[in-house]
Order: sequence, then structure tokens, then C-alpha cells
Amino acid sequence: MTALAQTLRFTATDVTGTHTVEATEVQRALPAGAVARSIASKMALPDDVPWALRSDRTSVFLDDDVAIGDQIETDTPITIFPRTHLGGRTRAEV
Amino acid sequence: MTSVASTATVPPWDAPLQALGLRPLDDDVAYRNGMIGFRVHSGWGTFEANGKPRSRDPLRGQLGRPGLWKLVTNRRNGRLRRVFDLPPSILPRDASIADRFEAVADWVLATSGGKADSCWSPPAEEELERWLPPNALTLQVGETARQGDMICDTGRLTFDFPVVTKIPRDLPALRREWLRELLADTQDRWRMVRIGLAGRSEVHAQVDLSGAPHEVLEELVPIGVDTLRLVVSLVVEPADFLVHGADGCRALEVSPNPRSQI
Amino acid sequence: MAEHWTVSLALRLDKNGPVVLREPVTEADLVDPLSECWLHSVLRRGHPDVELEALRPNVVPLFSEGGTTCVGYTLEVVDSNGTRARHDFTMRSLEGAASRGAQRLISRGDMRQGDVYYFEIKADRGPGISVPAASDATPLAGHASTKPIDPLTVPIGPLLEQSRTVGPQDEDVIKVFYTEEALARAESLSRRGAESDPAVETGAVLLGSLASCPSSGDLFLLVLDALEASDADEQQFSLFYSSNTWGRIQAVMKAMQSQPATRTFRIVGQCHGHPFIPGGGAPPCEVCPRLPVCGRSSVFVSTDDIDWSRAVFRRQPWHLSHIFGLNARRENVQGLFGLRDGRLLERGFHVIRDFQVEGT
Repeated sequence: MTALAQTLRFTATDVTGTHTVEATEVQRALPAGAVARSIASKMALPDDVPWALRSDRTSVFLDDDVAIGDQIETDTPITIFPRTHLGGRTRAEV
Repeated sequence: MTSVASTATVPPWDAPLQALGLRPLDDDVAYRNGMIGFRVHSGWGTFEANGKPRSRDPLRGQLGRPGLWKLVTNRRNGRLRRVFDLPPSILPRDASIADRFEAVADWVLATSGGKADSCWSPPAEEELERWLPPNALTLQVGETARQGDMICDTGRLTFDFPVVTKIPRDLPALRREWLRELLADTQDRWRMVRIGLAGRSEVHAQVDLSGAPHEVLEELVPIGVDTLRLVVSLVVEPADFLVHGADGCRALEVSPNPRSQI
Repeated sequence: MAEHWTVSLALRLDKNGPVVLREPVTEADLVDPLSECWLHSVLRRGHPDVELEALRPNVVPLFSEGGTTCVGYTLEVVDSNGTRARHDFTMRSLEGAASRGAQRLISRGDMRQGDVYYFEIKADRGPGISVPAASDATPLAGHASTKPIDPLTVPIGPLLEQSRTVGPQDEDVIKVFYTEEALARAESLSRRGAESDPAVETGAVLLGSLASCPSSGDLFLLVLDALEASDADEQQFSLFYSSNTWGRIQAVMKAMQSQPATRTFRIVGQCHGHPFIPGGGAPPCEVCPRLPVCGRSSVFVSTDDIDWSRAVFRRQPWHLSHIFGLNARRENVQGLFGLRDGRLLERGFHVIRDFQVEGT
């Protein structure tokens, strides 16, 4: 396998534990941010929300711009989080 | 008898092509010598190697070759052609920049034998990165994401994306045929981008600018990478479907082409 | 054979003015309505085992009587056994798509932020919107799955008899039963931030179980605990769950789900405080002393609250948002919001003394 095509696999879950993706053959060189967006798409989560990944082993958010293979090992359980906040600033129109 | 002077204009690429020994044919849009021909169609300039290509398989043995040469299939008669496409912006609009086109034509001829110029060096990586938008080599399309690579070395400048990272060994034969059909069709439809099998189980898409004259690289690099991204974004999901997800899809139980082999 | 329609929104800047934009209604716009249809027309009709992904949906416009004006639409669904169900929605359920169209008008300079605009549904016969029943009919380099509902079996009658009601009651929404302790805890954690100076937003996730009544087949929700959003970034008008916040929540959930008494617990919503006086702190209006209830309060779901809920609780139509705030008289008020007509709207709930899972 060429270096570009080296892959890893992991299980990703959403924050409520309801949706799970068994991701296989994810290129190690892919930035974590791109992987997060593709996982969100696979779970049919909204695509207008910024998503982040967190390693359940180290409890650390993965850096969007760093290759995922440089941040986790294969079979690391991952959680996908929305980078959005609650808050009372803007009332939704009723 | 009154003679009428011809009012046909001479295209700006005429002089550079004639300098390289190509002669115009009767239709004024094509040129040819013993080795290659040139034609303009839909604004693109296409060089084509004369004679039968040595390789019989358009998807094998092409990755890593210098320049934009690729094998395409004439769908009407099944004939394999070896072509090198240039985007409209590279063709000269007037004679004042015809010199630049002569350097481009030189590049086409120099790479037609499949060998790189070992004395040629690409621009510095920092300069190449300035010509590209941020994250140009990261592609995310729905559920699928791919990381591309810029191979920048003496004699080499190639942009590469993996399309399929692993074709399973036990992929059913008919699905392999459909995968091949998809890849060959993509290869035929889209200019500049070369699709090929790497090793036994990977599929890659490339745009190779090795040996290109530096004066056109600032234009060709973003065009090439944009085209590469477009082609990969179109082909990666159906390719993934054929490799991983098509179980139970009855439409794929019919062969697309009894003669194809992967 | 079902008719197929393509639905879009026509936006106008003047009520009787020309259409200035047509905004397509996409598959993504219909995910929440489809989830709601699944909840009310399938799960609550005694079929908790039918997965959302198993439904084949179709959008059918609803026209005003005798007219050509589209006033809403019906989502018709068919499950793998051929059983049909339907649920109606008003055009308000497509406010998200309308808002998207409005943003486009703002981007191209045809409208300014805060301007009023009008929208209506336009329906044309066509290929229709496929409304994906979530992902993964075709695994692409990976397989997606969704946790089954697996509700507790609990007769609803005794719960209704012993409960007190809070807020407006509506038979068309899933019934929610809060234990006294869970409600008190949710309020306490949500109002904690009001004690800071300046006040900040604090909150918790609501934990509970889905339950199914063995006689009626109805599905309902039990809210049994509230788990503090600790280590969150708490600001005057925002509450951001950090990596540590979620890490702790997940660890606690994992521990709970490994115990028989709390095996069926899941995150069913969130609560937080809006510890500010409505209207920018303006005093009560002149007639307020004569009114039994003050009509101005900080109890509302904000656009941030809606986006957060949409992201966290995708395809979980039973989810709740509980807001604890203040009215203009500086009195504590609260409101529970749940999915109805594709939007988070205020709703009522029941409060029970206590709840124990059978066998524990």
C-alpha cells in the first residue's frame, strides 16, 4: 500500500450514544477536520454545524488541521461533537 | 482571371508548431508530423501520438509518467488513443506570446516517450502552495474524505489523490468490471486527469506537470488541481459504492462489457 | 401509485409584492419533520420496533379548501410491512429553509438583517424529494447504525393518576413525566449561574428513559435525573460544553448503562438558565400589576438553542429543551420545549413523586 493510502479504522459515536459509525480505511493522512465532516455526513447530522472529534482514550479534542493518523491509533474509540453553544442572545422568531 | 487572396487568419500557434516540424492539414485546425498531431476542439488544444499505443490497458502503467499524456478510448470504435490536453488559457491568443506555447509544445514532445527530464526542477514548494487555496489537497464529499499529495522532486511534479485505497481481493468479478467501466469512463470524459491502478488494490487519480515550462506553471497548477479535485469528487463515491456497498444491487449482476478485465 | 411533488418556498419582501427568491426545500429540511412523523405516527401507535431508516416517505402538499394556496404538507410514510401513516405540518415547519433563503437575499444586498419578509410554499408535480431515512443503505468504507429504542414497559394510567400537570397540555405530543427530584435538580443546576455577578448561563443534560404502555401501546418519556454540565464555558449569554464536560457526561452514562436500574437511561434533553430580565432589563409594563401572569419573560428557545438541539438530538424527536428564566417582575419562570410541527415549541409535562424501574 502506498504511503498515501495507509489507513486506519475506528468506531465513532455521537454525544448521545445513539448513532455509531464503524469507519474503515480512513486515510491516516487526512486532517481530523475532514474526517469529522465525513463522519457527520455518514450519521446524517446537520452539515451546517462545525464538528470536532474527541479521543475517548485520551479525552482530548483532535486538532482539525493535523492528520488523524498522527493523533490516534487504529481502533481508538472516537466521539463526534458539535462545536456550537447554547445561549439566550438571539430569540428565535415565533 | 481574377485571383482572390485568402482571408483565413493564421492561428497564433501556427509558427511554434511549424517550428517543431508539425504541418497544417487541410482543415486548418489540425497539424501533424510523423510522431504527433495537434488539434483544437472546444477551446482545448490536444496533442495526439501517432500509431497504436504500446499498452493495451488505459488504466495500467500510466501513473507516474511525466506530463499530461493519458490513454483514452474512442467509444465508437474501441480504438485506444494517447493524448495530451492543454486548457484554453494555455493556447496563445496572439503571436506575442507564441514563444510560451513553443516551450509548452517542447514539453509535450519531450515527455511523449514517457521519460522525465532529470535536469528539470519544479518551483519551490512554498511557491506552489501560494498558487493553491488552503487545504487544496484535502477533499471531503459527503461521507467520503480523501487526502491528496503533492510529489515535488527533481524531475517530478505530480498531484495525486487515492480514489480507492483498497480493492478487496474477494470483490466479485462483475463488480470489478463495473468498477473498471466507471474508471475508464472517467478517464475518457475528463481532460488532464489520469486514472490508474497502483499495485494490486489501489486506484489513484493524478495530474502530472513534470517537466512543464515554469512560465505556465502558475496557471497550470491551480487548473490542474481544480480539475483533479472535481474528478475525484465525482468518482470517489460511486467507486466506494462498487467496492464496499453494492451487495444485493441486482443491476450490477449484468456485465457492462463482456470484454473488460480488471 | 403515490403522486410525487417538488416543494420550494417563494419569498417576498412585501406581502403582496413579487416573488424575489425561490428557495428549494431539501432533504435536510425534512429530517426533523420526518422524525416527528415517525414518533407520532409509528412509535406512539404501538410500533416502537420500527426504525426510522425503514420508512419510505413521500411529501404531499396540503392546499386551502377549494384553493390553490399551499398551506402546509403531509408526510406519508410506509414501513417495510406496507403499513401507512401520515402526519401534517404547517408551512412554519419550513422556517429554517425560509431563513436560509433570507440569508441569500441579505448576501446579495436585496434585504438587510432584521427586515421582514414573507414566504409561502410552492408545490409542483415532479420527481419529489426523496427524504433520506438517515444514512447507510449502502455502507461506504464503514457502517453506520442507530441504537434501538428499547423502551421500558410501564403502564401509563397509574402515572397519570398520581401526577400533577405543569404548563399547557396537548394530546398530540409525546407525554413527559418528570420526577420531583429530577425537576428540582434541573432547576437548581440551571439557576446556579444566576448567583454569579454578572449572572452566567449554567445547565445540565436531562437523563431518562423512553417507556411504552402495555395496554395503549403509547410511547412516553420519563425524565429521571439531571447531570450537571460541569467544566463548561459559562458566559452571560452562552453555555459551551467543553471536551471535559462531554467526557464526564459520557463516563457517567457508561456507568449508568452498566447498572440494571439505569440500563435504559439515555440523554433525553438539556436544561439551562436564561438568568436575565427580558427586554434588556426594562421594568414591567404599566398594566402588569393588574395581570395574573407577566407576559414578558426570558423563557424562550434562542437560535443557538435550536441549532444546538438540532445537532445533538438529530433523529431523536422526543428530545426536550427546558429553559429556566425570569419575567419582567423578576419572578422565576420556566418553560419546557419539545418538537412539534417540526419546531421547538413550548409544551406541558407531568410531575410524579418518584419512579423505580421494576425489579430494582
